Amino acid sequence: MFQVFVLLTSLVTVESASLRLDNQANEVAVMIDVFAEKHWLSVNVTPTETVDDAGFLRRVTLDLAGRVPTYVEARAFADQSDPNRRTNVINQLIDSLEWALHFGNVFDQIIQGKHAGDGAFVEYLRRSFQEGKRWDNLFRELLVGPWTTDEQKSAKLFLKKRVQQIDELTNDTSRVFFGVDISCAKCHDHPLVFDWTQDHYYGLASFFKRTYEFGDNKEIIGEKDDGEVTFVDVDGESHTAQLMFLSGTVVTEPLADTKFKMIREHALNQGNYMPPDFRAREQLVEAGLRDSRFFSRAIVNRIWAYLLGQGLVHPVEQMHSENPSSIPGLLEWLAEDLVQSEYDLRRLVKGIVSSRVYQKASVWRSSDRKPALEHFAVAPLRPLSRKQFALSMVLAAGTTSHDQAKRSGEVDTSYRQMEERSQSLVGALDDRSDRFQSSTGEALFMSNNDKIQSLVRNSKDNLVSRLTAIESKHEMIEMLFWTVLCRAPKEEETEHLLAWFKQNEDNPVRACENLVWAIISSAEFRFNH
Amino acid sequence: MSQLFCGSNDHGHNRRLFLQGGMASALGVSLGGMHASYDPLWAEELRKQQKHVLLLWLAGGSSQMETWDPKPGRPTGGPFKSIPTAATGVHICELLPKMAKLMNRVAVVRSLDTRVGDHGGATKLVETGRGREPGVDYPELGTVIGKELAQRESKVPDYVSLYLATEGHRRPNPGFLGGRYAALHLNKSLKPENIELPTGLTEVEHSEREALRRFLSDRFDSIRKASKVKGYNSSYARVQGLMDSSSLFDLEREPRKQRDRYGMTDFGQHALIARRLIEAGVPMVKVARAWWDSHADNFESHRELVSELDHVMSTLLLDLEERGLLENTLVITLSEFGRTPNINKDVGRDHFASAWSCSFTGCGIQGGTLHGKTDEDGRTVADGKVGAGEVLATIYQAVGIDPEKKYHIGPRPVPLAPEHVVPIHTVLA
Repeated sequence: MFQVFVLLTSLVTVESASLRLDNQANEVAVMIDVFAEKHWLSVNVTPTETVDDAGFLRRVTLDLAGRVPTYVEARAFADQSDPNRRTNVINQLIDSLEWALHFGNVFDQIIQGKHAGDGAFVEYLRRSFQEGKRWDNLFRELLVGPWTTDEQKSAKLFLKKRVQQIDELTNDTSRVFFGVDISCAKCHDHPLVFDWTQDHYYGLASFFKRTYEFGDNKEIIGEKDDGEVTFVDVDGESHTAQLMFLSGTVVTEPLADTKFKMIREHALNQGNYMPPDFRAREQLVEAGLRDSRFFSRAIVNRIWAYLLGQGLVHPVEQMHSENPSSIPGLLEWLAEDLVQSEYDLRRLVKGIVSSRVYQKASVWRSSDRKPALEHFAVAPLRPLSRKQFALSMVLAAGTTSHDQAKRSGEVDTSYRQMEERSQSLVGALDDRSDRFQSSTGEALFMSNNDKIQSLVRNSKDNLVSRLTAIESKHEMIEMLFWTVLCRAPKEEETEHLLAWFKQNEDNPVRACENLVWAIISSAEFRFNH
Repeated sequence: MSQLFCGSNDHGHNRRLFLQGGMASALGVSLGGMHASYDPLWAEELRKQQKHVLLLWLAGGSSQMETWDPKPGRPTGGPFKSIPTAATGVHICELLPKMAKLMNRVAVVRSLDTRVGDHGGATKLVETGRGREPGVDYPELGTVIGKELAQRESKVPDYVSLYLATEGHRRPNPGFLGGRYAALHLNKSLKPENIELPTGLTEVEHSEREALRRFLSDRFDSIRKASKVKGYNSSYARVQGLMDSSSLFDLEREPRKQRDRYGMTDFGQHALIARRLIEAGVPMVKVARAWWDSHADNFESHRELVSELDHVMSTLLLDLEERGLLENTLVITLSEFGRTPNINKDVGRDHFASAWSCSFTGCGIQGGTLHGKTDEDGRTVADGKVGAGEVLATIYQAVGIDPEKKYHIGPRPVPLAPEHVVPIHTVLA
């Protein structure tokens, strides 16, 4: 690999020292760029320029902390001349509590999908990220436990929400952890993809067939010591599925220890749960980690998609031989690196956001056609998740308390308070998804709801009140732009807004409120770009 | 033309916008060459072309025995008689005397066998025409219809859903179609949420700050040219139109006589709103009436509910017909399932999905027809068995939507109605 690396770097221009990296993620970032540069050459695409500092800070803060930067953060970053400033800010963000708090939300969405939003599960994920828990361990905890302490108990919510529907359990496990939607293969072998047959679908389902709820209040997610899945193929022939992982690996079940079986049955009859000696879900976890291609590539691809708008394999749940990585070799390299690093997600995230690929501008100025997103030669526009959007509105239009909390070491409390305040907005906003579309519901809510109106209404220490305290309209506009959009206003914007104030001279406070509304509901604020 | 909107002068301006918006799409296809200025004749033409669906959703499960498929004199039949109707050979329950006179316009399907007998699962099944499938979040039928029948640049909502009861309440799920197609859903009051000016803001300020928002957004868009930004801005562009259409929900603007005609019940007034919406060009309206779940005292509750349905539905059909709207409006009565032939110890009927009924009237429907039949006690389908998929395909076909049209989720094609399902041709015109 090292030779390839030297060969490739000699082909590509090495950018200014400001983007050179000085930490362990260095290698990851450099390799991402090497693969990307090679790909761009081969498809004859010239990538766009690097995003400016202000744009970078907004993007990476939204991605890692789930909110826009504060005025103080934005100004401080703009004033730095340290060539390592981007690396420094990445390190600060990923070491901060806010990263764990935000990634708890991000992974709740990834893992739970439509079941997302259970507070206990989010807290479990937040603790996990804070402790630096490895992805393989997290996966094991979700599927097999331990679930003894109160803190661990929430981990079983992945199974708990799906245990009554074996199809959902099978397909969601496959989609979320292995990047494979095999629901098509339930009724027939996949029509387009030779990888997936009914054997795969029912093979995977077999690992869950024995899972059931035990106890008076169904408080235990237990497993039986037998249970087979049978299915009928398109010719009407009946089959019994083997315990088979997606890779084709079949797990054979050892002969049962009859003495243990008796003891166990006795315990169960007494109402005490006792796991069987052969545990099918544990076998699935082991099989998935042994042949780690699916498991490692799936999470790399999901995190890539989260940070760059689309997976290297797209859609993220369609990883199969007919649908290769759009930058050849990169997904495989990152996945292998993740395995080597013992599933250190921080290293992966840090590596991606440090890369020049991530730090491309979203503006396409060339007269050439804008390259497709799959080449990652220009940064995508990504709608904020509803939580990011709500939290950012509360922060940008609100007081400066978060900056104060950062200084006094009360970030956790402050973040949660803002989150709580933003909670009542979240439900009315459009969710970020592959098929994001703005709804008139959100536009009506933003335009007319009193909750939004009260965010921008002049009140003690909020943005409007701080702005109206400033004498000079120029300074006021500067402060507004840095606070909300994390950048300086352009000349024509300043001019337009000066005219706006002139037009509304009779009521400057109201003019300011309406201006803050216009800027937090502008497209620039709604997207990560 | 006075019938197009409620008659108030307030709408002159909106009407023009709406018509121009509609023209843009209609002219391009079928009326090519005409100039797109305001012209009452073309407006009339357009209004005629717009197809609508009005779904009367009888939530909780209405009894087929006490409505469309009576079994008088049988042990399962209950106390009510059956009566002849304007459709030769079609008898319905005596609780529907007003509808009986209109049955030459109505088609009844008596042979639904949908198997699923829990409210949630059955609703999902009937709303999407298929069972749950992991990985695919199917949109509810109203969402699909609203999307397919929508006029481009329309100033009115594409889909309005009224469901003010708490029992069985569900927000229509746009599924994989996404938020852009979500229904304007009324569940708290008859006024849509967020459709009026926020407290303390004048109309002028409201539109000026929107202009400012647009200025900032357009700058952002001009250097990025992404469809997502265009979509974002266009959703704000619809705000004013929707705010203007708030009067459609205001029944004070409707003559007292009309309100009385529909009856001063919630269901009656909601049906009147539905008619106003359809008249203004809304393609899809759903009005839910809850709660039909008569596990006890089935006959008492149905005496009340069916009589109300009789009055409201007959008034609605006649009103639509008088206004020339019925031929382009498909009116449906549908539930998540029917009710058991067996009468339980509480004189109730329980959930029953094996042999039940629904009705279709208006657009694309052959009135006075019957499809399928049940055995003499109504326990099983004796002839013409159909499922939720067939109902869905029939609805689409009736209003000119191709049931085999496909949406794509990634590489996977998903037909509007399930594969291998055909519409119920007996009831189609």
